[in-house]
Amino acid sequence: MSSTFEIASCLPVVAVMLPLVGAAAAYLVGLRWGLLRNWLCCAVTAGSLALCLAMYPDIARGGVLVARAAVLLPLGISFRVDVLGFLLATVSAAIWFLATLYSLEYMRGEHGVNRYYAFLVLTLAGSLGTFLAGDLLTLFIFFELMSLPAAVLVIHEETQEAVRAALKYLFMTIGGSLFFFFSMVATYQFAGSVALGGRGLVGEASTLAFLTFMGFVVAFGIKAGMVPLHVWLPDAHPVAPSPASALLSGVMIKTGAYGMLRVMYEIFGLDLLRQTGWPSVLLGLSVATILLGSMVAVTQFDLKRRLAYSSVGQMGCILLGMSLMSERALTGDVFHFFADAVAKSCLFLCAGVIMKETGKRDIRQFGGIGHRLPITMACFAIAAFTLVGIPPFNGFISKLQLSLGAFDAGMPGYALALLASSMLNAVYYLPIVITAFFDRAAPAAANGAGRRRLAEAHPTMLAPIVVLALGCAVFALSSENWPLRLSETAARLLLRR
Amino acid sequence: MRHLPILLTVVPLTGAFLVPVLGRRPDRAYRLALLSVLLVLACAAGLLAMTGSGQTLQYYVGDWPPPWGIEVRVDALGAMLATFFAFVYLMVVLYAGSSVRAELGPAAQFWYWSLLLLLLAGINGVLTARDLFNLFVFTEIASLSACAIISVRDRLDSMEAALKYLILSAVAGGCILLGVALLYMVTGQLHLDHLGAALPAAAGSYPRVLLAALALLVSGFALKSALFPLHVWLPDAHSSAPSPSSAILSGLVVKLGIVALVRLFFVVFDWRRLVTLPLPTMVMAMGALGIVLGALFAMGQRDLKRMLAYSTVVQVGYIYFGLALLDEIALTGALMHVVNHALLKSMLFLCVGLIISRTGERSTAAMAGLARSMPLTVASFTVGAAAMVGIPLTNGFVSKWYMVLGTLNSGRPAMVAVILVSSLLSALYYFPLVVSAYFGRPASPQAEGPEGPPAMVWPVVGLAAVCLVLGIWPELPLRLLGGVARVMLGL
Repeated sequence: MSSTFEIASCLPVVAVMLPLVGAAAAYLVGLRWGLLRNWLCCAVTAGSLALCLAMYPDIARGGVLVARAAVLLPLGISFRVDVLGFLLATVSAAIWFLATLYSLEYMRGEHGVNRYYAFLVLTLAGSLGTFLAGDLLTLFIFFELMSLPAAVLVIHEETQEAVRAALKYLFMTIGGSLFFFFSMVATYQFAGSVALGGRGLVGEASTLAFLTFMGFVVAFGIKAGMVPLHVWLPDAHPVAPSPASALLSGVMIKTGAYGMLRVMYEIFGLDLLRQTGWPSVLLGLSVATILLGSMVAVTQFDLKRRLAYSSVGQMGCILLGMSLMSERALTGDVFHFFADAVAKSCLFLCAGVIMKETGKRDIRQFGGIGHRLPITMACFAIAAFTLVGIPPFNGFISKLQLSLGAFDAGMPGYALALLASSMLNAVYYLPIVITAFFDRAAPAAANGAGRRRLAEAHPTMLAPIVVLALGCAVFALSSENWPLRLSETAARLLLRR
Repeated sequence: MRHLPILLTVVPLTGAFLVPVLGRRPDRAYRLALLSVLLVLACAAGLLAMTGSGQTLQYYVGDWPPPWGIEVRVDALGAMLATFFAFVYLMVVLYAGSSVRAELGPAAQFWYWSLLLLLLAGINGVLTARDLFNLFVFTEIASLSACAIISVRDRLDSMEAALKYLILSAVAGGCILLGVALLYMVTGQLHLDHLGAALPAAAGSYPRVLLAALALLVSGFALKSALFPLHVWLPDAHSSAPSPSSAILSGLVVKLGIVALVRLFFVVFDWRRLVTLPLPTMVMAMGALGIVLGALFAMGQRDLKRMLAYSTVVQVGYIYFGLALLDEIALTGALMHVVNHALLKSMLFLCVGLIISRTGERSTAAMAGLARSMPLTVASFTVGAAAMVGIPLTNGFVSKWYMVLGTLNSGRPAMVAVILVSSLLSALYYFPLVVSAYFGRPASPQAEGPEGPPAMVWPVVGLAAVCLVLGIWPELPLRLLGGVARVMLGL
């Protein structure tokens, strides 16, 4: 599969334009007809998913879909979809669709619903554009188009806490985008082009090239919640409505890591990185991210804050995988994008159900909650096992590949960091699952007035959770592990083997 | 058609004098002003079409060629600035048609229209003047009418601001005149091209006189355009005028000093000679200081109009910074930013004018929760804020791209930090306002009803739309300005 060929296609453009137009349409429709808007949003997200899937035949043949949309500035908007972009775009469109479905019931009777749906769909356009972008400028524009409107999702509750979190988020996002901007312009200065998909545009090592690299590290690190730039994340993700948190933590922070992956392998190129050793900066930071994120997560008792810190820890694994620069590490890395996106959004959706049905956010009060919400908590358990890396689930495969990759790269010490991550994940996830099902002392407290009948969530909230939980297990259990196969192809493509 | 270059100045000048002659009724004065501005816009657009392919139009007043007669010359830069400035003027006049009625008495209104047209004559005169003395005269016409416009509102703080402006502008005018006189003394020329040709010879015999003339001219025009640290008059003057006038003063009038200096830098004084002096470095340093300190001052403001006025100090610093890099790309970006900032800042001042007339407050707290009752105004303000920060798809992004690229191209990567810091600081003072407008709780119950008279709301929306259009399709102005920059740098 080393040879790829380009296919001109308008699919990427349509896939990005659909939610962009859909967001505006949803807002206008929603001014009059609320119900119609809700279903319109579901249709738009489902349509984007279908459009992403429609690219599969060409991708499977080893093709790369390219499209030039419009000329803007000295450069232009262009799209270029290879296996990596396809996999992530499809996964994110799928999660978006499920989160929208979940929102139907979750957001019923909330304030500002119209704004919420419009921006939910708008951020889909942004993240699809980011994953499908064919050059840095397009990536930058869609990165902004996703990041800035996401502030509206963060601020949704309009409490003082939310406003503060959103402002912090906004300022850090803008700060990050300035670093991105600098590095992008510097890249243009080096190469006269910012196109992705090559083997490296920055020809040789220089101080400015290093600054450019660091600019990208800061810009994408802020988005990806890399320590020490993660400070906005634990504030911003928990205050958003749960489906939005699921998207923020599940998909949107992945765009940061995705950008870093592209920049490392396609702007700087493997040879330059090997020769200069710059990725070791990222290696150190990613280990710090894994350890700090996971350890702080242990100390959090607010469920959504614990999940948010857990995201920081998982992003550490992803950043570690890409800076190891070996094939199996990259395979595990790309697969972990998928595994963590599915599991983390599942967990946040479960958290939404728990909060909605029991009114509790504090983990210490979750005793016996599994008796009341058996399906939700079962899915929560599966997703948690995935992130811990317990065998039959996705997380095991990605951690295995990442660890093998660390050995391949001749840096077995980093496998220890991955093990530490798994262990700490176990420390902060398993007690939730255990008390939820086996805490006999507490059920009365959990249920309020004795053990009542089951009070599971509405089917449209439950279905997305179940689908995501299945997503954590099905591929890993089946003999034909489709995402893993795509990840392997993507890793080979990035390494140009 | 041949007379278009001079009509640019003559039409508003005639209008300014016809207003008092034709009638003392405010609505008639308004219609006359509107007609004059429309004519100017048509002339400017025609000139833009003619200069679009790169040639310049020369016009000898009374067919007397220089050095005896006066030459008016329209190049692509002049035509483009004249077009955009006339467009801003049109929007402001439409807006002011409704707003001055509430703010000024009938007698003051009628003077207001006359002064506004006089100011437009001054602006177009500066844009098209080809000799140094006319440059001076039209700068003075613009400054004096601007000063009168500030004081048109019969209030103590307006008077104080006008006086402050008058004194500093008189100092600047004195400097410029002295500089012109010194140059005339050593060369015997006033026409810019002839001066430029005569200077190398004069530089050998009178190096100090030339240096003094250069210093006087630069400080005079820098004072007029509020380059830091000569900006002290600006926040008072721009915040105490009526909102439409603030829009013109902040958006257009400060640019005149910049345009005049651009002509001086690149036509009269050969820039390769200037590079041997530390002047570009000094201008760059002052620009950088203006960017950073102006932003810090802006952040401390509680008054919306003062905040916008300090933001103008920042943006002027930004433009000077780009000019002083002496790089083709940076110069293109800086000239593009002259246009962008004219559109943006006038739009923001008009937005704030709407907010003030609706809430009766000028404080930044007045923005809280306004998005519900004033959706179009707040949306336009958001576009303005995004463009000031330089977010993609707004015109601010285009100029930022060129400025950063130019800074790198001129081999000063460290200076990129100044531009990026300026963006970040702009975000720090604009975005909290936008967020509070959408998500804040209003301090007092808001009035019901439409957000303002349509004649005030739509000009704001129109300006915002142009900002977006220029952000998405910037090729035409960039192509023109790129040509101008190449000509200026002698490439």
